[in-house]
Amino acid sequence: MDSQSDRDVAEFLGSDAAIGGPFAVLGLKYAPIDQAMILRACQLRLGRISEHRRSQTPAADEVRLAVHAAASQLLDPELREELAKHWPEGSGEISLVGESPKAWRVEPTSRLDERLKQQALTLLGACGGWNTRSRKRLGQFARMNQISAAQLVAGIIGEQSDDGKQGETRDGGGNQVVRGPSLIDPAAGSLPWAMIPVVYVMMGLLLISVGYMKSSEVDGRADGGVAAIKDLDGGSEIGSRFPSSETRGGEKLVVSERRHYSAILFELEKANSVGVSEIEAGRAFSEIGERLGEQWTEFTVEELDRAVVAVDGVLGGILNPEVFDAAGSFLSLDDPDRPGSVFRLAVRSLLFGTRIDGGGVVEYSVMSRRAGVRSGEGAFDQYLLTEFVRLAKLSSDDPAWWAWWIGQLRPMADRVEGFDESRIFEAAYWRLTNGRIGDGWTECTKQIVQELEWREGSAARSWMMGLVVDPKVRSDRLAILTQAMVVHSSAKGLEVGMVVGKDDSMAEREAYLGKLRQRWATDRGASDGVRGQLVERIELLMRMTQSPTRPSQALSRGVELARVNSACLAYQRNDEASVIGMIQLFDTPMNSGQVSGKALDLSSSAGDELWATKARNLDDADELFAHLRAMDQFDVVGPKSAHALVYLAMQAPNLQVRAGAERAMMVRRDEVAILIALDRIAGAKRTTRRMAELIHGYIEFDGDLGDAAASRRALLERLVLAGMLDGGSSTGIVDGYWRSMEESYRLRTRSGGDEGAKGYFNEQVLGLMTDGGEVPGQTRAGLLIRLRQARGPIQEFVAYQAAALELLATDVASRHPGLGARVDRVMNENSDKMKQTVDAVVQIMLNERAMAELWMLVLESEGVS
Amino acid sequence: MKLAWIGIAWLMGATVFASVVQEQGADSELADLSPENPVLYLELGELELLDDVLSRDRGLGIELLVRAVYWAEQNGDNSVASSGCIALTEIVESDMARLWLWDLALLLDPSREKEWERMRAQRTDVTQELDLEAAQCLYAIRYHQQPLGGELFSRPEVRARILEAAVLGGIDRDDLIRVLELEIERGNEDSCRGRLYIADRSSPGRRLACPDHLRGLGMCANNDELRLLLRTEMVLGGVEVESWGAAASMSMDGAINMPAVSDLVRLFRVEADKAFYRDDQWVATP
Repeated sequence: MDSQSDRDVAEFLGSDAAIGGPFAVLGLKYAPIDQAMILRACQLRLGRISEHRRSQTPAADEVRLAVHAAASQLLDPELREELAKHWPEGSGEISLVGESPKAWRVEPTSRLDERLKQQALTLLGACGGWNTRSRKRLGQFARMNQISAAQLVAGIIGEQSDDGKQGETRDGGGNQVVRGPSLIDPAAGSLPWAMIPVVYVMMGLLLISVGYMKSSEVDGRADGGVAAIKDLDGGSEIGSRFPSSETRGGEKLVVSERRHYSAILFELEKANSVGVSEIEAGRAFSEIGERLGEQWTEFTVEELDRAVVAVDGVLGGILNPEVFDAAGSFLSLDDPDRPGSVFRLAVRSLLFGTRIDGGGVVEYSVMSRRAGVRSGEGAFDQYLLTEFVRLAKLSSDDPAWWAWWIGQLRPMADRVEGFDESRIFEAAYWRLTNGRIGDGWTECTKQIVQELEWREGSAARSWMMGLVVDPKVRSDRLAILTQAMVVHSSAKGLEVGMVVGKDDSMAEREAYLGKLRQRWATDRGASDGVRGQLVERIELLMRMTQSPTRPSQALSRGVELARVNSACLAYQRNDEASVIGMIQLFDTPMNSGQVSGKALDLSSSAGDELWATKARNLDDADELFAHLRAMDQFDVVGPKSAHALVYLAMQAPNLQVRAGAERAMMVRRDEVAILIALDRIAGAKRTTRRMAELIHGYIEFDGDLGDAAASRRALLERLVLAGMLDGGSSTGIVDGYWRSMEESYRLRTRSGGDEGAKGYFNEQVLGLMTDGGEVPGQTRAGLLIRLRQARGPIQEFVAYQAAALELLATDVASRHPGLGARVDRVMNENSDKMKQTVDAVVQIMLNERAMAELWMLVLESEGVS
Repeated sequence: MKLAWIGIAWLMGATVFASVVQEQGADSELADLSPENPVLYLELGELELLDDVLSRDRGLGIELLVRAVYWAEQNGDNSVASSGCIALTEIVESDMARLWLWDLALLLDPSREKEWERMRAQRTDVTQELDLEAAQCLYAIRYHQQPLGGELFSRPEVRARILEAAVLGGIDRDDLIRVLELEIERGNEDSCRGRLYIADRSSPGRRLACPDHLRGLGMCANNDELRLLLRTEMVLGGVEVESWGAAASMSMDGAINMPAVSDLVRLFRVEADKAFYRDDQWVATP
């Protein structure tokens, strides 16, 4: 076992299956072996894979393919014989003996002779062809005669022709059609994949040995049955292709009149319940299918699912290739480059796994039994959407393609969410960023602009503005598009000649963008003062923060940007009252914060040393009390006095003196020297409960008295909070900045909490999850990494703020598809600038600036400016 | 956080052998290397790391792995790039470098989150004890508890851990080392050996507040030095502050920088754009 595929086979099917060769894969001995055993083995192996915990992985799919390939090879008797010479046999674990009724036990020689075949055919005809009743009767018949149902079915269907036409597709132009799956072919030995599940269904039905039979059914539909038998006896050609949609075996297809969609659904489901076994029935079914193809947009999403399930059921139940061709003819495709109907394309793709790409090559892919269309969930509409998205990438400079494409798009727009102009944007973007311009591009642009809505606030306007400044969009293609927009679209305010030049540079295109904004702003900007004020404010702050900003400037700029961002968010929520209130506070100075005003001085004066010495040497309690009172003369306790005070509180001989020293400490909270003196005893090798009580009492800490590490941590934290390390003025400024930012972020959250950027981010996540989304992996990873690095509240704020920015960018790009490239540009520029600064407060300002830029894009896209 | 970069570079450089071109003959597999297949760089790099016969192999291993990360990212294969970063964590000796590489691995491939968290949890267990010793060392040095402070500081793992904490806290390592060495010296010269009181020789039974301390014991020579030591102790002790002002005063307001592949290439000093191995050297064209 030396390859990954061998290891995969061993994992899913056992080591015995991985020794090599198809026999081992299916677990079959060389003999006895027949078709039924092979199919059964294949089924059992697939079942085993499905039960594996990794059944949904690509590795499982690879093993499934291997099982199918092994079955296909072994079904060919000649090939099987040849393979037996080169590959080992399997473990023989797959055996029908004991697993199935006696009727299914494989005999070395078949008991199916001509007499039994004729009897089976008579039975089939008497039941009116292939239907549920006939399958049950044939199952009984097979069991009674001790032959396998698969053998019986194969015998009834007849020997296959060997003309090599099976499995072929016709190459070359014109009506390239795709043949659907063909029948079991014992001579050629290949079982088309698509029919494997059909065979399983057949075998399953025949295995049901229900003994009842209605006498009245024997006489039913004799004519139809005889006709079917005659066809089968005639040995119809296997591998017939789908005729074109217009002809069926040379006859022109008559499309029936328009019908109510519920009637169409009824007919489809009825056909599914009784089955289709005759050519005429197949043709009738195809007519209904044609109706479905013409009127599918009238179906609700649930009913369309049911219709497709019915089509799937009918076509999947047909074994006779001619009947299959007849029934499925409504799914034929005329032109691979322009499939007549995306609906048909999607159904074909769903049922048969076929695909047509832009090059016209038919791809016939292996189809394992898919989960299928689940009725009632609108799954097929989503499948249609997927096909559209895929086809968008096949856009070309051929006006005919665009005409077809837009025609297909229109009916989808009303029924599928996400099926809007953004599909046209996507398809057009592929062209606009592509190479040499085709001859038809001019006509294509005309169709595109005529299909889009260009009214105020339309997505098309913001899309166009985004294209103008998107560096990936080619100027030559854009020039033709803008020409079409000016001449042929419903966009107002654009005069003839107001177009992009085919050789325009980005600077020139930026200028063109300015003209567009000017033309389109007058529509609404003047009538919306609030929005105008927001835009004006953002533009001002953008200019003010364009160059690198010093940390001192970043404080106030950051607050101003945060305020306008909060206002924009309130505007988006249509909370106009809040917005107006926020706008009025735009120019309010930042909170100045409290200034302690005291410079720290830890140097020891003469008086300090004297007091400390005396405190250590006094024995008399009264003298010590007096000495403690003398401390009041000091504004702050000196460093040595602080140590002495703690010493007295801990070790004074008199308990009352200790208590007095402790009281003297408590009235001087947050004095740095006392904190350091306490820190000295906190780190001692031996700590006592008394020490812990003293420390906890001074810093007002409720932690566990026995947890020395926690006590020390709390002490250090208090030491920092005491502002011991600078004069206090900058500390106050930063605290003021902190409170201003908190205030802005409080206004962004609906809960009005005080968690700052963290609270805002959490609300965004909640909103995302409510809409069924999730935080992008990249955003989550970035947040985790930043939080790991964060060593304080400012850095923690940056971490959550950056994540909130990323979520905002994702939201803007998804709601405004035309802005995707510009959103990327904003985020990339912000990322570069973030790396260039060494200060977290500058990073906070930069993130707020990026948010403001995104809000500007949103406001623009709504037709303001 | 600029200091952090210097710190990371130093820590990585101290543990990485110079990228000397392997003098041994080029393996045929090395000749097969090309940017279109970054997985090969990764596989060969991991194999090279397993071979500890010659120290030069480590250099080649690093060269290969850094290129694996670089070219995989260029080709959009972030899973391979992430794997390369994780493989590099086996080489680096410093904990901080390992953390940085894991961060980069997570950023490249967010699906590695569980592994990343597991790594962090393991690291926390392992370094907790070392953090305690390092914190004890700083405490002893600040309170002039010699020879304890000096002895702890002379232990390589304790010293490394203190310096890592400095880098994590955005503290200049050289400044920290200078202050610590100064305080150790002061402690050695401190006749009272960290005690508050000494005996008054002129008056038996009387105690004097030690006159050698111009500032209080444990308060260093000036506020800047005290800030330096306390800041490092805070990192080791996991101390958190709520106030932005306090955080700013403790210089806990440095920029947060996300790791990037470009930084990896620079820190390991690998010319990753020279992707081909020919005649025992890395070249830009095949």
